[in-house]
Amino acid sequence: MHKRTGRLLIALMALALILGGGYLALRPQEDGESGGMCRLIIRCDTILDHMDALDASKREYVPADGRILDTGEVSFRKGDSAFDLLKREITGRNMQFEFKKLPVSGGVYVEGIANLYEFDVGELSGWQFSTNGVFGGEDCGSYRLHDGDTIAFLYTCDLGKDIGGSIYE
Amino acid sequence: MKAAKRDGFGEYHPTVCLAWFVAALGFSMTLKHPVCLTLSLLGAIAYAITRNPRKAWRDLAISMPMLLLTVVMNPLFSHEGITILRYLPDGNPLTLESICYGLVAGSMLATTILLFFTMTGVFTSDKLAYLLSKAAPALGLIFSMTLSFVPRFRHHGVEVLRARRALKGGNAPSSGREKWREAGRVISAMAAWCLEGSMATADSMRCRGYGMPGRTAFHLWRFETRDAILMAGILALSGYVLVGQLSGAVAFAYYPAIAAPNLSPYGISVMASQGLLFAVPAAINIWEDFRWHSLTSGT
Repeated sequence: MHKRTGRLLIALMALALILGGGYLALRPQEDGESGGMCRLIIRCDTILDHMDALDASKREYVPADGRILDTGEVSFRKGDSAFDLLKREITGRNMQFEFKKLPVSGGVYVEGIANLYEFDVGELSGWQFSTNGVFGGEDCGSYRLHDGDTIAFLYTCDLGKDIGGSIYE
Repeated sequence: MKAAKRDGFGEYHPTVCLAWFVAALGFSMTLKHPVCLTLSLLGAIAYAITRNPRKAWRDLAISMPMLLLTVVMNPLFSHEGITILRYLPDGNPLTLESICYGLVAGSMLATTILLFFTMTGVFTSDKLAYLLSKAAPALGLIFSMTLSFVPRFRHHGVEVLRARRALKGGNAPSSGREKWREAGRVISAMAAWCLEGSMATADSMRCRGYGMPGRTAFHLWRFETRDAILMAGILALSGYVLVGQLSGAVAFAYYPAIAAPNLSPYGISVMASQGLLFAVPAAINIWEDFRWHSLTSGT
């Protein structure tokens, strides 16, 4: 009798945990107050200079002018990070992207946008983001947006040197 | 009279079986075309079933869930692809291409698992020892010694334990400390027995000329004409498929979009050869069964 009630209790707790976790993960985000206007740009001009090094299957997915997205002025919620902006604009346009949450720091790392991934053009290639033309050191999940910011996600083919975002100088 | 299920293919020379398994494993892990994957999987299943139906069910019960698991897991980790079905709760997209590739990877996994399971049945310890002794004699020696070591060690342990208990009056020790003491003494006696035994074994092996050049050993298998024919066939088919694969005739891409290049007659011939290669063991088993029944049904 004790064993059965004990098992039932554990099953109920597990169910409560799953339901609670599911609710927390899937509940619709409430719209907070607006924090201002900003602009998101996604470009991959540097790939156009290295088309021969690019995976053959991805050649047709590189836009001819290097411009993947330019949102113009869009509003953002107070407290949004650069990544929140990226996620909302890309998801709203049904575009493809891939990111992962870094385990220790809890930051966000963008692996690919519009099927153009890191390492597609050699080992030194990947995505970097700049705020108003400046490449900060933090990940895009940590930077909180300010009114008037221009966030640019740029594809680099040699660790940032070709877009001005290299940390080695 | 109903005969026990025999593995006709397994009765060929071990090197022939090894060649087939190496080719089958190699192709099942590298070919990505859906038709090729299906041929690999069907060939592996057919061989497993014609060899030992009951064991095959158990093997399938393990490998098919692994296939399903891969189909479910791949979209959770890979988000590349141009066909976005929906966005997952964490924000990454769920793409059709990742589901398809999950099927590809799952099918490769299931085929490889099935082939390995079948291999453990076909390559008994005597065949393995024979193959190893040809390829790497030192490794073969260690392998066969290890195989015999474990059961012998266990048997010695039981004998020592029984002897000790008989000397002490026949009762198992009651307290925990006594049990540890007894176990320690048994292990030390066993170790001494093994060490002395191994010295005697080494001496006897040296006396019989083990390791001298030109020393031959007895084994059951002779490389006959039918082995040569089958080996030639396996090598020819594998070579043809390999060339076709390297030339890109059966290429198939899944990321960023599913790209099915037009199939040339050459590509179809490569696929047919692959299907034939994978069907060889099952076909041999079915043929042997048919011959057995037709020969015994007359009596």
